[in-house]
Amino acid sequence: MQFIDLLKLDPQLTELIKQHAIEKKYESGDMIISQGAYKDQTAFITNGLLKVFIEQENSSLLLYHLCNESNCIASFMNIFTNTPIEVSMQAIHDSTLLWVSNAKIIEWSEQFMCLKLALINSYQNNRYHLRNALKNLTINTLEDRLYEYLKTKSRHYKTSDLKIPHSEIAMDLNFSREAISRAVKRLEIIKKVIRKPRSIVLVNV
Amino acid sequence: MKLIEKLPFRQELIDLIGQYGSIKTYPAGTPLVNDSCSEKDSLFILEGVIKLFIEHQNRKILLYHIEDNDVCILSYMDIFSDHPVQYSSVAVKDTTLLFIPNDKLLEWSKDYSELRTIIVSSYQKNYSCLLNTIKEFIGQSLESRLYSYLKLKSIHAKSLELKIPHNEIAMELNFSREAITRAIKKLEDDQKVIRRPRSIVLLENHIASA
Repeated sequence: MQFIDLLKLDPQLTELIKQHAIEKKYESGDMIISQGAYKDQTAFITNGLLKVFIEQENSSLLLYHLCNESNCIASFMNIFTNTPIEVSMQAIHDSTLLWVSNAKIIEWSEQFMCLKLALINSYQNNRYHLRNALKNLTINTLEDRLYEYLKTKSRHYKTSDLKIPHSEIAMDLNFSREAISRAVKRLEIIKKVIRKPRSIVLVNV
Repeated sequence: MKLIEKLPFRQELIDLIGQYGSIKTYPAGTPLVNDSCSEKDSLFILEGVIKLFIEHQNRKILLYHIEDNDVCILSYMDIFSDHPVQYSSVAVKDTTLLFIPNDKLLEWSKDYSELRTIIVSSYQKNYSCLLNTIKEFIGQSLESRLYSYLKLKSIHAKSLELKIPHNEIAMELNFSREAITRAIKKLEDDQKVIRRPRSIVLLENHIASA
């Protein structure tokens, strides 16, 4: 499993995870957890791509992605306090997660430094992404935010031809669909993208 | 040394902190980075309040505040990777900070579970505060955000009357000064504040007891 090599996990810990974890598979589009729910578990992403976002009354905002190739721990930042989860998580691609109770995570992180390091690295990544999301929200124009979003998606989807509906982009960036369509047009005028009937193609990426 | 004794750690760890840590006091308004203390230190707030913000091209966007009763570690570098965290901070009130070298923090976290708990809890708190700030940006009207901001400032100042210039509020909330002035007027129309020539007075009694 890729996450074991990525996180440099001890073989003994790997065996414990295999013994105690519950494997769940999710199809593209499945909600993994909704904001406000309780989940006293942490997951290792063995396969797939997830998005983490927040939802408010009439708005939502994409925060960051998690995948088996990089940021492969899905933690809800509530390991010591089983408080309601503050974000939502959804599978973008078909995904497989290994769920472990937080009680086990705490127990194992006392025994295995590799797990403690992996968790803290994961928290640091999450913090970094949140800080960037906030900076983008407050400092960048819509076109800049949209362009950064498309580049991020291109990296995760491993293609520059992005088949993402404008309505989905609008939800992810907390703008109206019409504003997104206008911003895509403006990016095309400055030759950063090409608009196709069902996709957006990034130029020179 | 007396302030260190307040930390929720066993005496053995407090003694180590006393040996390897350093304490500094900052008057209100002093920036905390660009100090003689190494950026490879983490810090505890022993007394006072600090605010964290992002600086970008003459703009300062408020992230959140940390107070002395939040037992929370703050680092300017990611503890394990030496990548800078890239935010700025300033003392809101006269503040006393305890600096601990990151390598010592890591070393002690192997032996002292209460320190491990605080490190993880600090990340969680940091995450939660950033999320709340993001939610405020996307979900709340300017008047709601302004009112929440004024209430928080009132708690820190222990006063209902706030002498904060409108342009400082504008910087922190990332709005124009004119928009802040209009929003304060709206709050006054809603009988939540009273505008005075050099201050804003909150009309609700919500100051935390000392």
